[in-house]
Amino acid sequence: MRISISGTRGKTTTVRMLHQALVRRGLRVVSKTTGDEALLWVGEGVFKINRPKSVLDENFEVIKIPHDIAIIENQAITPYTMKVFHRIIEPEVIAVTNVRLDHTEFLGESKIEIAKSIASSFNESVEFVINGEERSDIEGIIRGRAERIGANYIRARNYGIPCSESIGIIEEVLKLMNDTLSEEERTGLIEEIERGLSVRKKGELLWYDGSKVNDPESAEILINYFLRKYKREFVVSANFRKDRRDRTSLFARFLRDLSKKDFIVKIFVSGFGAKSVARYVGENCIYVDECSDSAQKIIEFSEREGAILMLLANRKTKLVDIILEKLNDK
Amino acid sequence: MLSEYAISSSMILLSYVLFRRYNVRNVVPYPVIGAIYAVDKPIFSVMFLFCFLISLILGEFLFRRFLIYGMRVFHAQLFISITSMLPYSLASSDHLSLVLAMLSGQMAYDTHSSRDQIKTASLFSAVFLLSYAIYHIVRWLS
Repeated sequence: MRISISGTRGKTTTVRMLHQALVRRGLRVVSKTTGDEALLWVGEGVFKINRPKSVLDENFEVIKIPHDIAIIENQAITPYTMKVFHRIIEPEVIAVTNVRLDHTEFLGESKIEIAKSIASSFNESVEFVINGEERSDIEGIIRGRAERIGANYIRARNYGIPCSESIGIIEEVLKLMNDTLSEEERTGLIEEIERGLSVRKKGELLWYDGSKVNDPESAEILINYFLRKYKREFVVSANFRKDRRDRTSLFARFLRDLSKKDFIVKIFVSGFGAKSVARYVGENCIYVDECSDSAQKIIEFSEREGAILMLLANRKTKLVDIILEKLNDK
Repeated sequence: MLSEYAISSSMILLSYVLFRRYNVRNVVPYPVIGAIYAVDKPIFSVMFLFCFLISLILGEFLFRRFLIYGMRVFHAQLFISITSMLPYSLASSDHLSLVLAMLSGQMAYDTHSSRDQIKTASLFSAVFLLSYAIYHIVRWLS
């Protein structure tokens, strides 16, 4: 069986958790994630894939590795690459984790358009489409496409915490194999997600690396979750990349709304286009250079205010590297 | 010159409306250039669409049969398109037609890599025919 893990957020988590669940059942499982830190899992072994950038061709090699089940992440960048990916691996199962506003330049400028782009990549080899997205109009698009290609549509359960659709997807895959997720496994997975959604501590400072949270909706879900959990204010550091202008534009709008909330102490922005973002967001937003002094200033300010320092928008930026180095420095 | 400006502007406007309303992308420049060049050359207009069609069909064949995709299909489609135009270009000594055939190849690739290929192919053809017709009428009136 071949399983494609598609959608916007939580694909790597889903691949990893599903892989582990199936390996525990004694199956020969091969899995691959994508992106800058792509990994290949073969049974219990994990291997880092060394290549300059993500290439679709590598999936030809992955499906040649002997397996009972192959789980492969489908990088949602363009409708075309998603379609080619499904042509290469010809999955029996496609799982869509969720649909969020990211890669809008190519996938579409609304969640509806992005859902259509994702759904358009489903091909005739698919027998089951598992959907973790909750919004009903988006569910309608995914269900509609599944029905048109003659696939069975399955709605995955969500456990009310960010990223828990991954657990729902694992449950549904196991059901397809006439198996179930035990209560102990489910509790373990929920705890694992909750651990991942916990702030870290350095001295008196609480901080969270949400720099891989690349879309405003996921960032908002995360901030609301932390607000309920920790009941603290936030200092946001959002860092922008030259090659992700669509993301900068989306975050600018999000940060402007966010800056008006009473639980936001200050927003620091850096990187390409950040000066414009700071002007657009308004007085609660400060532009900073990507240097060690700025990182120190942000950390000390957050500590002084007793707020949670939240990194958002992009991981691969100079300032995030410096901040993480300082925060991880024991 | 004003008629060319008017046609290009109106097609850009149409393109923007199509993008905002139906998320249709980049369907204007290539067929409009082709249509304006084709206005005194009816056979070229047929060849332009023919090259687009052949390039599209063969590109899809390469993808579906051999899983050749991306830039490999793109260059194959450009080559197919100019080769399809070659007999016409030689027969009519129309050098520029051969170069413009690359636009048909580009249209074929954009169609191949689009989310909804039938819609994209139809829009490319419609924009070409609409520009061709409008330009004819404008020239006739002036």
